[in-house]
Amino acid sequence: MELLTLVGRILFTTLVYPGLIFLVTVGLLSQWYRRKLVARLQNRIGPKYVGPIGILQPFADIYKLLFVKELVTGYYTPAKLIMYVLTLGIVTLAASTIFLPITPYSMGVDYDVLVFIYLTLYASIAYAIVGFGSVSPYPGFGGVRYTTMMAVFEPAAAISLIAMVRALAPESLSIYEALSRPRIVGVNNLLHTAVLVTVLVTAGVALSISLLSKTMMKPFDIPEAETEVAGGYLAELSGPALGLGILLHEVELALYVLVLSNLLIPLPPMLSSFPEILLSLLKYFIVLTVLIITAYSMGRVRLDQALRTLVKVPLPLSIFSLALSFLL
Amino acid sequence: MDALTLIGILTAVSIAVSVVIWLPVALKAKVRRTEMYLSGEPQVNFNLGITEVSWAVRRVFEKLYSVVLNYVQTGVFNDWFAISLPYLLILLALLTVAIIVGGGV
Repeated sequence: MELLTLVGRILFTTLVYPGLIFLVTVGLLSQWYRRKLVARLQNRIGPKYVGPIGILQPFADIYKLLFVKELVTGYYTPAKLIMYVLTLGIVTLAASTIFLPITPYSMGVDYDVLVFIYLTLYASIAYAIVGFGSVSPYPGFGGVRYTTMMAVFEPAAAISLIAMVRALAPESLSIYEALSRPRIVGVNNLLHTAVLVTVLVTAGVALSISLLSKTMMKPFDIPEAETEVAGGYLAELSGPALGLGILLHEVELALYVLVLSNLLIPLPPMLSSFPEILLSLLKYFIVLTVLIITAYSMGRVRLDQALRTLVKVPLPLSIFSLALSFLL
Repeated sequence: MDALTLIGILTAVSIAVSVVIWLPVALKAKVRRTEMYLSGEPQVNFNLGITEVSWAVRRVFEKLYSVVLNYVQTGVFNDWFAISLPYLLILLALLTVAIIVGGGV
C-alpha cells in the first residue's frame, strides 16, 4: 500500500505538476521569452502572430512538428527509436521534479542530489545517441562533438550542484531540503554568511557556464548548428523527432534554471503555497534573463576553444566551491 | 526510503511513462524514408543493417577517432590529462563527501 501511494505520488509529479505538463509549459513560455528578448537585443520584433504578442508561437511550432509535419529520414536511420530516446529524456527530466518542493506531493531523501544528477544526465546522453543513431555523417559529428564537451561540462555541473546543496543542506545532501529548508545560520555570523555567499556564487557561476554548454546555448552551440556544415545532431531530423528534440532542449533548460535560481537565491525557500511558487518563478525569470543576455552577447566558439574554456573556468570554480562548502 | 530504492522506482516509472507517451506519437507519425544514393547501384546489393552490432560499433568509433584526430587533439599530452581530470575529481569529491558525511570508510 505504501509502495502504491509512493508510485501514485511519483506518477502525479512526473506527469502533471511539477513534471511534464508544468515543465513543458514553463519551457515553451521561456522559449518565447528568449526569442522575444534576443529579438529586441538584435533590433527585430520576434514572434508576434500566434496568441497575444506571439506568446503561443512555441506551442504552435511544437504542435505542428509533432502532429502535422511528416518525418523525412534516411533509409537506415532508426527514426522511431530516436523518438523513443528523446521521449525518455523528457520523461526522466520530468521524473526528477519530484525533488522540487513546489507541490505537497514532492519528497526528498538523503543524498537525493545524486539521484537528481543521475536522472538529468540521461538528457545529455539522449542527444549523443540521437547524433550517433543517424546514418548521415553530419548528425554523427554533432553527436561526437557534444559528447566531447559533455566530458567536461557534466562533471562541472555535477560538482557545482553538489557544492550548492552541500552548503544549504550539509547533513542530508538533499536537494529537496536545500530548496525547502535551507540551513542559513543568520547574518549575525558574518564569516559563515560570507563563506555561504561565496560558495553559492562561485558554484552558481560554474553551473551557469556548464548549463550554457549543456543546453547548447551560445557560445557553446557548435553541435546545434543545424544549417551549417559544422553538423548538428538534429540536422537530419524533421517532423515529430525534431519536435521532441526541441522539447527536450526546452524542458532541460527550464528544469536546470529553476533549480539553479532557487539554489542561488535560497530565501525565501521554495514551497508549495501560491506566493512562494510565484516568487520561485520570479527568481527563475531573473536568472534566465541574465543567462540569455550573457549567452547572446557572445559569438560562437570553436570546439577546442569551448573545451579550454570549460576546463579553465567552470571546472576549477566548481571544485573550489565544493572545497569551500566543507568550511560551513 | 534510501536513494537507491528511489533510483529504481524513478527509473522504472520513467521507462513505463515514456513508452506510454511515445507509442501514440510514434504510431501517428508519418515517416517517409529517402533512398540512399549508391552510385547507381540497386539498393538490394547494399546490405547494411543498423542492427548489425559490429558495424554500428565500428562506425561510432570511426567517427570518434576522426573527431579526436581532427578537432580535439592538439599534440600536447597535458590536454588529454585536462580532459580526463574531471572524472577523477568527481570521484574524489564523491568519496570525500561519503567519508565526511558517512563518518569514515
